[in-house]
Amino acid sequence: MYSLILKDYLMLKRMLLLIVVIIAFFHILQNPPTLAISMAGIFFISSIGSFEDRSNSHIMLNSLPLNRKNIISSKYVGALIFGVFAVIMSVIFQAVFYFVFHIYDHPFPEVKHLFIGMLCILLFTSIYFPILYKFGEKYTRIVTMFLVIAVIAFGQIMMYVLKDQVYEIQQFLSQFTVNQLIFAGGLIIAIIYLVSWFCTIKIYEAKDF
Amino acid sequence: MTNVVEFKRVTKSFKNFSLKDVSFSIKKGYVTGFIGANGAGKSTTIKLLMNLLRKESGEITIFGLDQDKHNQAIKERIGFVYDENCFYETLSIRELRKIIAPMYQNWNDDIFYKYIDQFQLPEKQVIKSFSKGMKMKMAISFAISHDPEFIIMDEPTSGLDPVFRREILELLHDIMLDEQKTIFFSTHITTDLDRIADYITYIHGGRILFSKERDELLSEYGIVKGSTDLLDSDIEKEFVSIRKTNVGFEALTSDVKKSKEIFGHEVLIEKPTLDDIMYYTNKGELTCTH
Repeated sequence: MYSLILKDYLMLKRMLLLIVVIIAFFHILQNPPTLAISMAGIFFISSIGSFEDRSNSHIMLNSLPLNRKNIISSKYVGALIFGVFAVIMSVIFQAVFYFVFHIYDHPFPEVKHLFIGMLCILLFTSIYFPILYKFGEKYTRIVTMFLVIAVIAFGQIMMYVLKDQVYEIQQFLSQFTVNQLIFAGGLIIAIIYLVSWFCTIKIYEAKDF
Repeated sequence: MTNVVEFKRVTKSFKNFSLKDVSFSIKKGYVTGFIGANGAGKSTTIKLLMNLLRKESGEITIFGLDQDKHNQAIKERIGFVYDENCFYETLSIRELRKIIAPMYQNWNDDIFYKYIDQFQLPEKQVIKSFSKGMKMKMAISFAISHDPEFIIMDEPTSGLDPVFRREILELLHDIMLDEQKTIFFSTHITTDLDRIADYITYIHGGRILFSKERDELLSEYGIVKGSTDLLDSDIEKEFVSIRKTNVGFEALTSDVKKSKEIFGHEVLIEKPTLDDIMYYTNKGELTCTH
């Protein structure tokens, strides 16, 4: 497992450098850390998947003494590690910009912003990996695009269907504090992440190379 | 004699091609050459052996262990070399070693660096810049540095120059000095096998036509040459296939003794090469004889 994660980071060492620069750039522009973290995550996770597909490496990985389950698990654990890395980077940059350049009002980002950033990474990972391992890199972009359009269309339809209930929904949500809502969102995304992890293992185990 | 690998009635279908009821075994301590025309099913068989493809039915055991239940333990004891480079092209040998070495319990850096030095491979250069020969040498170094009992090679000599091919065959020869080792070697260049193979397994159109000791094979089969007057439809059935020319016929027999009984001294019987056997069998579409 350790070797597999190390491999992803070795493959993407230049990309990591670029990601650090991107996070710094977002902070220079005083964007909330959520945006920096989630953008960096999407960038990194999609690269983790695509280089594997491009380099014919499934054949090598599956010829080594590794189980398919571990190959997939390493990706999910790798994504978590990256999330933590992005959060740490974000904290460091905000602190640096606060103390050195005196931008930002606070030395550290709000925990809730960091948490939401992390959740965005997890959500993206949960959607991206099953699609990637099912359809391959070539079709992932198309499938993802359709998915995005479907989500937007679904949202539009729901808005239309629920337009008379907007007030009730607002009422319902306003019973909870922001933190409670974030916590509930976190729980739902954690469950989605685990389900996605399990499904991707099943997809990968049934695959021919 | 124990078998390292046993295929029992293994079937796998694709859109345009299928392996049907493939059964054969690979003997421990020997080199088995796996021959067949392009598209006959060599790579598919090797991929099934390496558990890269999911079989539809049948059973594959390696070292006596079920392939699916003991995947990891089996792969610990196998070294693999494939026709195409499957290593990450943007990494260097040094970085790849960092990734691959910890995966094997028996990894031995001394052996690894011995081969890297012997092959004069640059350790820090990215693999993308290597020639095909260098990539093959690298793949071999990775394949044998964990002291595997069983080495699988899919067309390791294809696309390489003769000097290099000879070098690789000599290396395999050295490995085989250790009598515990087993090599399974697929190729369509049959002359490679003249030097090293003890057994020959021949696949054709997704079926194993034979799996035999090479010497036995070459003594059982023969090229029969004679005048076309000697042939009639019953006699023609005795041959694997026949090539008729203006001056006479040439045919492959899978039973030299019987041919001698039928024709006596009226024909010339020569020892076939593996190429002859492949050529005539392809032509004749022999049915399965193990």
